Amino acid sequence: MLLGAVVVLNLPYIPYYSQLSCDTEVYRYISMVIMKGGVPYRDVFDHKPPLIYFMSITGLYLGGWLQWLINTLLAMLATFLFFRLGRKYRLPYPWLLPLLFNLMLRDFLIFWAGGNTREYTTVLTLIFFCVLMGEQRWRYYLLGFLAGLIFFFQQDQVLVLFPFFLYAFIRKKDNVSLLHRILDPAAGALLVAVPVILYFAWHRSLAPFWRDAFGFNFGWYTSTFKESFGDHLRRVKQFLDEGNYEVPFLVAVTLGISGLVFRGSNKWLTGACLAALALSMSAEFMGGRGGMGIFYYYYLPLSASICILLFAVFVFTEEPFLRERKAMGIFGVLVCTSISYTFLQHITHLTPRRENKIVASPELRYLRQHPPAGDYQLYEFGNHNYVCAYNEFRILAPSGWIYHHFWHYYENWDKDHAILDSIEQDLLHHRTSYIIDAITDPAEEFHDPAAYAMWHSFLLEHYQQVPLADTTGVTLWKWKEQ
Amino acid sequence: MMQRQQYSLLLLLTGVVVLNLPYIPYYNPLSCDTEVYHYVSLVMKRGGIPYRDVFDHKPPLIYFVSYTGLFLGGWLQWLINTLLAMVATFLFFRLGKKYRLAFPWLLPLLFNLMLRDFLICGTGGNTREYTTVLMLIFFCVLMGEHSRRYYILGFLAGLIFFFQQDQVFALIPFFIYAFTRREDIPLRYRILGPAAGGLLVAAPVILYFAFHRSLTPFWRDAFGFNFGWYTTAVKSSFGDHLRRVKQVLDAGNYEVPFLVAMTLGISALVWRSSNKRLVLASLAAVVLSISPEFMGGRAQMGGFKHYYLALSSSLCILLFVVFAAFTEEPFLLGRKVMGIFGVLVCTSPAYTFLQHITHMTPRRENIVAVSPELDYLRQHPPGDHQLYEIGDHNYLYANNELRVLAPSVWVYNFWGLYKDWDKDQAILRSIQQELLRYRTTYIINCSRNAASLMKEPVIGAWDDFLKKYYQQVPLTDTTGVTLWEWKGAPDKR
Repeated sequence: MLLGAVVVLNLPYIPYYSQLSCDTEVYRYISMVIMKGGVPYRDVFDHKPPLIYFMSITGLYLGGWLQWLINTLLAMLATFLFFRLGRKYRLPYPWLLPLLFNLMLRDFLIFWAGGNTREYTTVLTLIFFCVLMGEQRWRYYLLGFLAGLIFFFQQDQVLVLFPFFLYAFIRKKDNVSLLHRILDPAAGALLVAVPVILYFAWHRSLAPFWRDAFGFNFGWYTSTFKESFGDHLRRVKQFLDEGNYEVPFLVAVTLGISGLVFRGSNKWLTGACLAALALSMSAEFMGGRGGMGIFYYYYLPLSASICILLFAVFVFTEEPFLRERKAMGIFGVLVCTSISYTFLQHITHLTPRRENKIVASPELRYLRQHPPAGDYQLYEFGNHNYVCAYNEFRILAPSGWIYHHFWHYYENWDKDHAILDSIEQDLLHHRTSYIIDAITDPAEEFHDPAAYAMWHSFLLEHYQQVPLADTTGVTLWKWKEQ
Repeated sequence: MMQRQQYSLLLLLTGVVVLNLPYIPYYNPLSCDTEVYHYVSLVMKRGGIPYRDVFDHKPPLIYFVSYTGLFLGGWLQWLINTLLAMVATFLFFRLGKKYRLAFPWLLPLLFNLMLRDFLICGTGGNTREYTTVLMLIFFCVLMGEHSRRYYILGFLAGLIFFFQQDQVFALIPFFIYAFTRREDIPLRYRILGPAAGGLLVAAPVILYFAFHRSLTPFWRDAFGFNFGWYTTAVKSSFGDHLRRVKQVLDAGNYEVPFLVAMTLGISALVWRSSNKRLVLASLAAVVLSISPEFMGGRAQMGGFKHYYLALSSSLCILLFVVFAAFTEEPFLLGRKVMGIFGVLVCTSPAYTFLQHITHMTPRRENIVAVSPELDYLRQHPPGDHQLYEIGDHNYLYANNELRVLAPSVWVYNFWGLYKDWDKDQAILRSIQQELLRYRTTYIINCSRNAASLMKEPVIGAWDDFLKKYYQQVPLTDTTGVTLWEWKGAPDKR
């Protein structure tokens, strides 16, 4: 039943219904670059760690069904391990928390689309916890391996694991020596890190790898915007509210703190789980997300950390009222109701991906009738949801800069216009046939008016607009000499 | 022990005052509804009669209470509102003590947090603020042992009815419970007592309107309109209503108290309990307290979050019933479990309160008070019938501040809400005739601003009239609102 529910909860994300997400379009595009012999960071810019691009390669096969299958199987694996753990610790309803995990993981208001980095790190975090609480002989190697995977999917998510590593290092009921508890995870993590580093070293791309996947994140991404702590807190509340995570969050934190205050047999673990829950939202506090628009999926890791905390509370409490089946039943209803409501609303209001306003836009309809001649013959500028066009036509972009919102986000971005100039040079070099210009509000989308002026004059000089009806401010341009 | 409980009560009553502070006249946010109530009170003060001399469709008691808002700069009404909340809080606390609740202050505190939840109540002095407080008092009387409790129940029901009719629905389950419970008072007294109590309110109200020969407009506006236009003109699907319930609970931070109360309430119905009838009545009261959502198309009409204010008493009542001596589930009887649920239900409304008190703006900075139109009018003050606003009844604030009557009874309208409203434009023409009759000096024209309640073709007809008889006062920094002045010589009457 539980595994059946995992599949059902995943159904709204099958390729036919999967919502367009600019992030997953970028991942998929980079996978295509890899499959065409390119190397991430060197041949295309993005600032995520590399594993997501390798995972997204599966999205290029069977019309996206292969990746959906892998995502579902990963969720099923985590669910199975968590359920088994619940049974091992004699939870009254061992299926309840795995069910909550899946409801939260597939909460459309937070999750949005399948194939995001945080989907994988969230599932891996839960598997990590199951391994931590298990008695597998190689568990410390496995913990390191999983931490390595998480780090190379989405670096900041590794912070969530710190409290658990600390707990693992100091817990008494363990027959593994402290030395092994420290060295084995290191060895496990190397199992992931070494192939990744060798891959980039082999392709002489270590410098761009470091610059984009790390340097950019420690620099621009986390330090350019600053918001007050109060603003971040308000935003946390707002997202919990709007994503229907509020009740599970409140119940878990209240019970977690009660677990620390009231009688309990493993307060260290409860403390670690509470810390993990706080750290699973650390992405919110890195830079000024509030000023940058919508980042609901940053909260997806809560689906693992909240369930883990509830597990620790219900397993290790020594308070009679919390050990009652009825108490767990009531809290179970409380935490599942809102999220179930979201799921019901979502499945009763699904729209096929092909009806998405970008997929069905006049520009893409035109291009389907006049397909670009091949690689480098199409470029989108200003809205990387249109990266889906490269993916649909299976063609490469002429420039490595496939998205451009940094001109909007960061005041000092590309001040000398070097990046913009490189894009224009690439377009001229390849004599790119079509450009989708998705800049609809230049004053809003470009901090630097001179940058937009440069882009616009380039467009007018070398391209002519394709007359299309029913556009929404987006324009399609064609190379003038053709 | 006794002293500790007295301290709890003292702290609790202080909490009531603190939670009321953001609604003192200096900060009380602008609300078109309360502006209408204050304006109708002003009409009464000048000898007019509600419904006959000014249109509104609320029952009359709100205008009498709002009358107090005309004195001491609004402080008198604030004081009355605070004292009413304190009475309800005190009675609820006493009831909790009587039934030996683990924390008798917890549910009264939750009641006040929810009652003053800015995201739901919006402002002080709404009809539902009074009905909500009265409903809690009603419940305390119902559970008490006062010898005249059935008269009082009827009296309170009468007050609620004449404040806001639909809120009387939430009392029906409690009346049924009262009629069916085993008690030493004979059934006929349990029925006749409330009827007599209800008459104590109804009779003076009816006599007042009869004395002023206004029973017809009273019936037409306060009842006929609500049974007709208000509940039937716009329809939403049941699913839309449910989605809206969820949305408002979310947006108003009522979600957690609602979910906790409903879950515990249904559990108490299923599990062991010594008074399942009362649990059932309380559950039904929760559902009925949001019945206004389902009357007409609120989902399509936006706003209206204050329709959910009644939940602040019905949810607290339900939680009281669950945690009071009626549950026989051992795990629900402990102090710790009530503490945990207490934290759960109070956290979100407490957060709202903290956000609200740290982001308050004085009332004098509201959008109407700082508008260039009102600035101009303060420098060129009009007399009675010499100022009219149309399109956005937030601007009734101007009439209230300048203490001047409008030339027309139609101080707000429904052209934007109801498709068939004033189809023959008879109301519009009557407004125009009044304006011509009084040669009204100024018109604040909101027909084209974002909050306008007007739409074509009424706007077109109105614009023609305006251009014919009025000229625009040139003002800077306007926000779509315009001020117009009578083209001829200013009226000296």
